[in-house]
Amino acid sequence: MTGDAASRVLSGKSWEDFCDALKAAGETILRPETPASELDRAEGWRYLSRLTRAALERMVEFADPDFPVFYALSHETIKIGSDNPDNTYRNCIVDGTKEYRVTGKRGTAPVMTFGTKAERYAIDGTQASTGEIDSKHMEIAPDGSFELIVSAKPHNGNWLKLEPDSSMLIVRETHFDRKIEVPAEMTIQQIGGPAQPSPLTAAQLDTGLASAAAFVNGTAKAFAEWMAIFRKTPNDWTNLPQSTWTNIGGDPNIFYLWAYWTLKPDEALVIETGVPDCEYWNCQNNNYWDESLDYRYLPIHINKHTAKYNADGTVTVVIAAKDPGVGNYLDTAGHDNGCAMWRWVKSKDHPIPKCRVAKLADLR
Amino acid sequence: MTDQTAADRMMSGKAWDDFCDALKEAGKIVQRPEVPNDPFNKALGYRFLTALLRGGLESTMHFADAQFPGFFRLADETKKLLNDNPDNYYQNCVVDGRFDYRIYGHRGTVNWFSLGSKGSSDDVAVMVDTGYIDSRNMTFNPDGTFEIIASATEKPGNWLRMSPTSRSIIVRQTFGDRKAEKIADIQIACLNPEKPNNNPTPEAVERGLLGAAGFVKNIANMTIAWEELYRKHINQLPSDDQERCQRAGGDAAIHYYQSYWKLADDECMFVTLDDIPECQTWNLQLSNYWMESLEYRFFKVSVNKHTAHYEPDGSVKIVISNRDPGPKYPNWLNTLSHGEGGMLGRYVGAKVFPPEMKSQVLKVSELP
Repeated sequence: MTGDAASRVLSGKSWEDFCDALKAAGETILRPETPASELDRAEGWRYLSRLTRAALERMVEFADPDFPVFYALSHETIKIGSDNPDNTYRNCIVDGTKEYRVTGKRGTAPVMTFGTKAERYAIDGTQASTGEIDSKHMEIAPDGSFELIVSAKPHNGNWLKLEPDSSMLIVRETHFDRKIEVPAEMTIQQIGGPAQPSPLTAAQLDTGLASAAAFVNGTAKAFAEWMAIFRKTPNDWTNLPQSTWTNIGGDPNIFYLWAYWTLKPDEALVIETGVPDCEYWNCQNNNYWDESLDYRYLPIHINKHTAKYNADGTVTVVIAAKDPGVGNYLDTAGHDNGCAMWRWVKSKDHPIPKCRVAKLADLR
Repeated sequence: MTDQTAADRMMSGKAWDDFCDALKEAGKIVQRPEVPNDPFNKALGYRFLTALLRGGLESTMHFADAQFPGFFRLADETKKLLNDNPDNYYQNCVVDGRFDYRIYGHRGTVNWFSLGSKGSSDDVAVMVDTGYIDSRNMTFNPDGTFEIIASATEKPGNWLRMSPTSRSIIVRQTFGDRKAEKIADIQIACLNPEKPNNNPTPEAVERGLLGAAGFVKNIANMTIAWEELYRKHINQLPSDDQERCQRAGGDAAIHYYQSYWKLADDECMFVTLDDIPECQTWNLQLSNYWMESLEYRFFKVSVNKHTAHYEPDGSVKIVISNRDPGPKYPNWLNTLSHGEGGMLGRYVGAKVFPPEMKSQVLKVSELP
């Protein structure tokens, strides 16, 4: 950056740099290993446009830790890193040296967890978990209302830990059936903060724009690099140590598996597994950019609650262009490649489901 | 690669490059000579562009498939444009009048809500009304649930008329007291989609990207043009050109008084409403130069029929200023250190319309 923020904003340089940085982020979509089909490319550019919205929300609109407001970094039209179709996500900015109160009313989602995170990319390359609490261990009034104190200093009652460098609060609600379950309602406020937010400054805008473009670029690149690894073992899980995922912000309660798949129109990826004793599990289908496919309209995921089990208690998942009528069908939605994710949540064991490619005709 | 078709431009990345270039070009609008030339108003201007960009992408790409529709919010707490009403919860939806839709949900406790179907036009400032229904003339089930069919052919029950040229639905939920009322939950589904899925085509993505950049540019230019009109009657609130307001997607039930305020730190605009007509509601709001409503989540920047303090004779006195005029003036609208900006008064559902909302500029210390 050159010049002070006020002159960069006055001259329009902040904005021009933002637009140039967005343009440069496009190189990720054109990496040599990315699929060169019209659909994958069209979705790649749409993905960048969705990341742009997410980035502006995070870095410009909801970036004041004195006045945090919940927003969602993933939902039906912004999708990042195999976002879980069963989840209602909430994010907000926090400052680990300040204290906050979350007040809300529990909905009917079976799982609700809170976590705080610190960005330690510059120190050890991680996004560290600095606090976790599960609603199962919270006091919740009979009418569903609850209060949660978020602070570095221990607190009686419901308490979520911050460390001085914590900068994010994440709330995850996991649904068994989100069509009938109601998400919680909640708001957050700083305790003892200023009465009023300050007016926007040129420095905030300048930093916000630069951070937003960096977020688009960094996020797109990070998942493209994972996919480059996953695609080395097509149609099977890439079983990396779980610390890989917790180090970059994954939920420590979850055992994650990713599988890049590539299938001809007459082929299916058949996944079979025994099911351990666990709180929840699911399997979802994503495009190459690791965006969940459109779960509003298509069968692209199943979970512990919605799955059909085999007579022996095992589960069969079939990823294909057409439903062969056996097992639990996940639609490829017109894609010839993409990636699947499997999650075991709070599970005793973590079996690796078996994958095989079969002809659709042989399954019917 | 020749980049002759949208598919070529997807494969080469030219579509994305063109989008980023168009955004950069739109940034020059903030540099226009009409715009207040200080870091604060310029910073607001670029933030305005980012909000328009987010809303633009939602309307032109992320919610643009009329066969797989969804309600989104072009204006909300962090996306503001054209004097968005702090008393409203807006929702938008892209539809195609050649298809039929089921709109369903729950009434909530919001004061009232309306749905309008709008036809397309090439001119950004022009939208054509093709149908209208509101909560006062709808039927609800005893548990508050409801269903509306939106279609070009008449249907029994709650029906939102469309024409084959209808392209969008605008929902306005209007609060009496925003903090106490619960919005209506409104969902939509297309009843007769022709496509198996909503995968994006190269044409749709390119149209979406360029449409979003075009939206940013057009709304920003339109805002400056409107502010130039309103600067002709600074610190006054005359009745606006109602036809222009309606062409830009205004609500037919609303009579608009749009204008511009500009006040020194020790000054105030003192508004006296002693001729409020019989109406469903009225309000007066402050905006910044970019016609973004000021920060209503944290400050009192607007007043309405329900939240106003009334004088014994039924009139309402409103003070617009940066300095708190004190407890004698409970209807204080805080300019939040802006110095100048847009403002808008509304009479909703009235039959007679005063020619202006009366006002005078005073020193805060000289208030009666």
